[in-house]
Amino acid sequence: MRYPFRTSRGRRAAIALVAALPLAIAGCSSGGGTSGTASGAAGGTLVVGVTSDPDTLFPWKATQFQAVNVLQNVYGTLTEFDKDLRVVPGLAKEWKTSDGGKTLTLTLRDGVTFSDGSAMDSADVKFSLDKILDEATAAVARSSLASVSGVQAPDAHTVVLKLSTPDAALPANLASVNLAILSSTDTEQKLGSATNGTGPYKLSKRVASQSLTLAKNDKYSGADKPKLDTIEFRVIPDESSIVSAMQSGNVQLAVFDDPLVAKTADGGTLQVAKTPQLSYHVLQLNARHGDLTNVNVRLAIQCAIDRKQVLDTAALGEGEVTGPITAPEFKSDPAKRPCPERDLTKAADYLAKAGKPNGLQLKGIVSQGEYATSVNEGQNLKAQLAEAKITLDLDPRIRRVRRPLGGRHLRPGRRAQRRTARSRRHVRPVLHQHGQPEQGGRLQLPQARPAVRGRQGHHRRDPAQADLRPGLGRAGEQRAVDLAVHRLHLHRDHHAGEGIRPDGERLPAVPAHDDRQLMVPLLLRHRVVRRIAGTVGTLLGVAVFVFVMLRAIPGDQITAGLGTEAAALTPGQRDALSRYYGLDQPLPVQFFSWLGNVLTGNLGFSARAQRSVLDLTLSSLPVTLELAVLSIVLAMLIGVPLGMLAASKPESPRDVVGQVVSLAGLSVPAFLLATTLLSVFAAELGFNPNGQGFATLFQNPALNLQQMFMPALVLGFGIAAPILRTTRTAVLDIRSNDFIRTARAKGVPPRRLQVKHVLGNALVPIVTMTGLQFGYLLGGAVVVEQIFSVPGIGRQVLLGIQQKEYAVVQSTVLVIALAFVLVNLLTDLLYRIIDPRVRAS
Amino acid sequence: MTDLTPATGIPAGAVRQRAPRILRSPTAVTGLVVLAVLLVLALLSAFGLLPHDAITQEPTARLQSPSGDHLLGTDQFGRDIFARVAAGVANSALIAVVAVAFATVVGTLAGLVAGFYRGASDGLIGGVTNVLLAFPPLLLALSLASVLDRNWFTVAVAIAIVYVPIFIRVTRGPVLSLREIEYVKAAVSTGQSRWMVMIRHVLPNITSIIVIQVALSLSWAVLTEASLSFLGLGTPPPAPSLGSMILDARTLVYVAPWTMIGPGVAIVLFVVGLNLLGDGLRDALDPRSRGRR
Repeated sequence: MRYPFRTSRGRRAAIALVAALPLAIAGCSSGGGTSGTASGAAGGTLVVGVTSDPDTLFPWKATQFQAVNVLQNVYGTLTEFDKDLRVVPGLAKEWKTSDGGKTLTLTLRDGVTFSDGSAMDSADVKFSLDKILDEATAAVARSSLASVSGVQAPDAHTVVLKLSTPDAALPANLASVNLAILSSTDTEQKLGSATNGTGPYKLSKRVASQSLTLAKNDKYSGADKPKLDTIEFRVIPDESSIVSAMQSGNVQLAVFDDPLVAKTADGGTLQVAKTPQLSYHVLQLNARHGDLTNVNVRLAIQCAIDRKQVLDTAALGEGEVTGPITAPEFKSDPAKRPCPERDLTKAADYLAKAGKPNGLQLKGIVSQGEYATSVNEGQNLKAQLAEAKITLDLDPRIRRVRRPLGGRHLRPGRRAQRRTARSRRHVRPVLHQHGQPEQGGRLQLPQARPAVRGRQGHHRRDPAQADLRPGLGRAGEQRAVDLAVHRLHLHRDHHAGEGIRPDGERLPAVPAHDDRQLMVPLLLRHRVVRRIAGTVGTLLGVAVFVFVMLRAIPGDQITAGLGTEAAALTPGQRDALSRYYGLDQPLPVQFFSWLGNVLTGNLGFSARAQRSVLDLTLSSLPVTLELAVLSIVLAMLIGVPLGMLAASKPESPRDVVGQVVSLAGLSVPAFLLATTLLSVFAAELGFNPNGQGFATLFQNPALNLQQMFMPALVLGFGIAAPILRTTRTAVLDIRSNDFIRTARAKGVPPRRLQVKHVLGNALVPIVTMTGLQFGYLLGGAVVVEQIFSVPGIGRQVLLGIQQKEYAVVQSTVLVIALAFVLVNLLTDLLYRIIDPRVRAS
Repeated sequence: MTDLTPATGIPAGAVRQRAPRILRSPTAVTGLVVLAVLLVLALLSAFGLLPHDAITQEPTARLQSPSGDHLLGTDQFGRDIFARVAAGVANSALIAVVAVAFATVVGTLAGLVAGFYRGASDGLIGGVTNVLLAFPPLLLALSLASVLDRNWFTVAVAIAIVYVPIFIRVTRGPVLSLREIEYVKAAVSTGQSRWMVMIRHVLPNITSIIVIQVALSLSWAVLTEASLSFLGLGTPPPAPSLGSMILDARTLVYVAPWTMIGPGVAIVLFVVGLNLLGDGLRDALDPRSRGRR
């Protein structure tokens, strides 16, 4: 696919810096007073809220906003910008040009050391610049040194750059962290997981996708010593959650690139400060492709766009419209353009001249992740162009830096093995299915009889009924109740040791066929074996499905994973990558090698998190399971009492309350409820434990439970509805039974009657229905974990999808499906064990 | 094989006979009213009859609170929220209807074939169903939506695929029992092709189950579509979608709460309406529910 556009816009941008007062002191050990501004007492921790992890620690490849933000504190550059964006000395204390501008001589500062203690000298500078200039390094700022033809280090404190042409922009360019000076003894590999820079801070701890902590660099040689002991960059995926965290004091500082978000944070204890940033946003047209080869089309585009509008829309006017230049010193005049103002008539004329009077369609990409407003600007451009009959299809892509093949980031893939996926129909008891609470109508099977009163001689179980998994949700709950009650009637004699016998009624304890009693043990084993075998078959089918699904990615895995860089791959590189990932092999071979890997525990590698997927899963799966358990507990605490209340007087106001709650639980989407809860609790009540770093149950039980409370509440509310209804139906059913009447007549106290007899029997369908909700919990967890920044397996899948790491997605989805199937199987088997009546039937 | 006698003369079908009863159920009527209002809004938006457009941006009129001109205020691009909500409802309705229609057709046919023909086809369809049901529903929709191109149709397909096994299950059971009924057996033995028997005799009897299932599936489809767009996997911008409107509103809720209230209320009303309709349909069409409430 060719991409004729890239979108950004020419302007100067402003970063809004939001800080909570008092700065740098809140939430830490030492440092007493509450002085309001940055010049407070030294020491302590500053917590900075960021929306994502830095994607790399290697400064020469850092383009992502968060990465640059972090690394600027760790690494030093030859020059720097002051607060007015003027170029001032950095590691070089002075520089001068000579030889008609073709020589730049830099004098380095004395006594500069790296954080590992080694001294920095001109050899390190030469090493760094040479490496950056080397194409093999794939440094992003290589083009900034385009004019440099050679680097010399005549003595330890002098560096001489030989230029092929005078380059006025070079000193400014040297201020970028992408041109950081590294020690000549360091390699990209080493610096992938540790830092060694000349800056005031160094890396002390990193938990992927959760937080990154910098500690003071005691060996910092600059004049301004670092004041803070540590800086923690805490990952809170959502910008508005960061705002909540700031309002509740968990986070003290956040840098927003989106002025809109910063604006919403202003007020109260939060203060917004602005710092200028120089960046250019451009709309790039590929004049060698398609319709854009025609100059009139390009002119039409120019006339159709009002750049001021783009600026106002996406950045609240924080910037200025400027011309096609790359250095502040050389500005072109916006008025000297074919259409100084937006002119749709002229645009139409140009289109007509180009032979496209009815408009045309263009494909473009929007680079995501570099700055927050890119997508907004793209949208505005799209809307403006649409008015000129130019349809712009935008594809948001993450800008990625190409990683060298064979590096430790890549884990080789697949080995072959042949097996066929068997889909086996297996017999499963009627009660076990999963489903959404809001699905399912009620089934009506002609032969199904609710609540057999024992008038018939025997009941028949149609095998068809046995291996039916009826509709989900409500149908399921009705069936659960029906069959549970059904069994109750059937096996009254075996009723939980109460000795309550129905007066004058004899019922066979088991179905009529006597030989079944003998066969029971054999049947049981057979059924269990069949059940397990069926499950294995299903799991194989699941593996095939997951594999096929992810191979169906349009444009294939390689390009998807590489983002905007994919267009720059040469055919040779593409082939090499294909072979590396094993994508050139036939599909079955790929499948079995993948499956073989999975079964031996190699689930792939996440380059982003620098951890294996197995490792990630082992830490995230228990979190989600804990969330699921807590949700179920909360759901039962809500659903069961309300259900009993509703059943106590059907069709009364109490019943209506129950129905309303149940309807609300089904109808309010989890993401809406979660968002509302978070906003209300954080802003109004100042309660936002999720703004703090996530603590597992073992690390800090109190904090962990607080952090799980709201997510569990949201999920629990969603599944409370079917539980409520099942309780209501079951209680109503059971209460109408004779044995209850008998018990009451015998004088059993009402409380004991309710709890022990009614609820005790109702528990069977309730627990069954609860087990069916597990599917909803696993799905709903994705949304809730994202909003509350809980590092569970749902969030792992989502991150994998967003970062286009399809190996992660593939393996994680497989793991979740596996967990789900196993839970179903276990509940099934457990149900057989705990309820002897199931075994007997 | 057991000998089956239907509990009543008329099993699950006879929608037409029971239709008037739907109107007597207050829940169904409420649901219908709510849905009708939303549907009118959606149609107005689809035909461009609303005063403002859902896509045109007006940067000067950004984040205005509700007023006479903009009933629900404007968003961060100056777009009219009322128009966007209406368009979002239309979008959700379209996706939900397409998804459920697809799932109904495919699922019902597959369920019929599996239940009626049994044997290998039943085994195959059952296996596929088990595999699809082995995934948590939202997760499956999410994964499918993430690998396909992003447009409204692929979102609908993703949701449909999640729902097909449910329809298969719902139809297969009754079909298994219905094929044992005398007149069905008779029809087969007189030489009518089994396909025709299936369509003509078995299918009408399960229509009420399917109708109920459709209503409830629609509500889930709307919720899923909203969740998918909230997670960024739904219809791409600037096409309005209720879920993505809520996503955008998250950063603005402190200064402009109307940006979230509008779409939030719309989603809830939509799903409530569908749920009420489903409940009402079930009460009216399902004879087993008679006497229970």
